[in-house]
Amino acid sequence: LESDANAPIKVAADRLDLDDRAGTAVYTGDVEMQQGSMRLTAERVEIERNAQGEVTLVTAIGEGERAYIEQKPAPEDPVVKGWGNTIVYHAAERRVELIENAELHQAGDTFNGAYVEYFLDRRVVQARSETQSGESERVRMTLTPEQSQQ
Amino acid sequence: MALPSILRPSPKFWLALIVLALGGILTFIDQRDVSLPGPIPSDAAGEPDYYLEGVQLTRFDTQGRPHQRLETPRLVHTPEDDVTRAETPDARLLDDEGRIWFASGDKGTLGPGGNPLTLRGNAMLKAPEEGWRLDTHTLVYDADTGHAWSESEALLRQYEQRVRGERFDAWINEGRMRLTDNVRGFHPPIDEEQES
Repeated sequence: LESDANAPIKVAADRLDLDDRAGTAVYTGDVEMQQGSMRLTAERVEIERNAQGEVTLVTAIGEGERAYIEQKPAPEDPVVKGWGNTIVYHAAERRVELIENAELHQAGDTFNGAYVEYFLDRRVVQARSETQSGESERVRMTLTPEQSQQ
Repeated sequence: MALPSILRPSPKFWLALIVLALGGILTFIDQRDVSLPGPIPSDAAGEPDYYLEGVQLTRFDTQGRPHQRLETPRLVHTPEDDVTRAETPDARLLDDEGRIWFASGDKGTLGPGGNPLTLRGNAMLKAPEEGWRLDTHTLVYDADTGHAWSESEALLRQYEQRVRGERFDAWINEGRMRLTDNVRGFHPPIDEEQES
């Protein structure tokens, strides 16, 4: 939802490790993160903050099962769901990267590939068959015609 | 009938009398000023061998560097258990990089040999520069290892953010902190007006 960007980020986990020198805050153990309608689950979530302590970047890593993210673009729209071995959420740009084993379900359409990028506010999806680290997986898209979605 | 001159007291006599009277008055005033010492604390650990009031205690490591300073209105040591008890202590903990961490509590104890420092009741630890502040009930700090930990639920705050957990640890020489068990984080966005 549009209000998501101004909502506080709430996190539940087993543990939080802060390292002043590295400037990192890492939540581990059944991590569940929520910001308005956006929800993210993973085994490990690293949060980067700016000088005021505000969250700028969230990197979620799945262990055993993929990291998962969901968000409701608009009240009348179905929830968009995404999976990846790693999910990176850029708070300021409202951009999500699904990396390795990436999958996105958006209003009846599905996208699979090594890398899928989703812009939360513009609802734009970009899929690639290769990640920066060279992992490759063919891009597969299943687009459902409008009528059959009603 | 006037007294004969022999019997009449001489001026020296009156002078001596006045000096004596003044001395008596000053002694009387002086005694009232002494504030009565606080009650001798009795404790399961037995009678104290000493207590101090209005204390600033600085402790040094084996290289002679100050690593801990404690300020307290009242400090008592009991030889039986070699424990030092302090009222409303304010502590300054210096880490290896010379940064100062601030700690305080309602009550404090220095264990045998002066370690660990345990703070009970509204225990607080402030991380330097980064603005982290920890609030808990009981906080223990081992000066030998630079490790502080809470023995009760802890709330960690920085600016608007806050995170709670059942237990808190800090390794002050490494600038690392940890919250474990039932961790709940709250990271609000910073408002534009607040930011500008």
